[in-house]
Amino acid sequence: MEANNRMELSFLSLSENESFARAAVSAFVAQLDPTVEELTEMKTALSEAVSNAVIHGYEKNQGMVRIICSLYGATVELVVEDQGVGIENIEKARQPLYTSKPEQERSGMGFTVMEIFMDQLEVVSEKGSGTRVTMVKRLGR
Amino acid sequence: MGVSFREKGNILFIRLSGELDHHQAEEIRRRTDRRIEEKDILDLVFDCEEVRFMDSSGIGFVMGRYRKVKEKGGRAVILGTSSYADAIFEMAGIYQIIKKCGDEKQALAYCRQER
Ligand SMILES: Nc1ncnc2c1ncn2[C@@H]1O[C@H](COP(=O)(O)OP(=O)(O)O)[C@@H](O)[C@H]1O
Ligand SMILES: [Mg+2]
Repeated sequence: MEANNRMELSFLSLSENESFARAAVSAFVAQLDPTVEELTEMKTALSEAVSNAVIHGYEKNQGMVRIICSLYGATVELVVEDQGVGIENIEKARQPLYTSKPEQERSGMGFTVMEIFMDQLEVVSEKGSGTRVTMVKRLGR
Repeated sequence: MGVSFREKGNILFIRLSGELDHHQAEEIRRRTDRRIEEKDILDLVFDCEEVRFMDSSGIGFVMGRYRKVKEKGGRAVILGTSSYADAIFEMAGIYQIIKKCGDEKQALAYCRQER
């Protein structure tokens, strides 16, 4: 399907860019006039995916995080990509409370938040080459 | 994002405001842990009423501080949440572990129970 509108954003995997990513995506999806709740849910899910790229994808290294936001009618698709370490066992990673970094006080709830706040979540990853998270939310339901 | 503190005896009131994400959580954690050490804190009261954004980093922050005081017999309560903080805490089942109090009096009474 052809998107009605689309934007792409790339930034270095620094944690201070997390709020920038949320603000940019919020401003872009504003054209669909989402409710405050819908917007909060999208921002929170995005924040989880971006912080995962920063924390887990690149760890102590730096790399680029890419966001692609596409609008299909009243449907928002958010893609967050990194070219970091990748995920060996996606099924395990997606389980609530699973975290590979408990010492950094991660809660293991990131994927659960994405799943609950969005209508669809797809994770594609390969060890050593990176991770792509695709999330879809249909507005006004 | 901001954090401000006030003490009542061994009880530390932690007032969070603004956006609590992974970036902000690191700084807030450092400042809170320093305060807990310096003031010989035993119990924690989290006030999240002014939080305008929270992702799962907020869960890590609250649970991490709770574990820290629990080791020395301390308690923690949540006093006040914005809808943003509440949605995340609820989802993570935090209220099954950390009690939510309606007002400061209730929070103080809970922290001051006999040990
Ligand atoms: N972009 C990523 N690159 C590599 N590993 C990831 C990525 N995203 C998530 N993971 C893995 O999946 C686990 C679960 O992620 P999540 O549910 O967000 O919990 P948390 O971030 O609190 O650990 C992480 O601990 C990590 O091992
Ligand atoms: Mg995460």
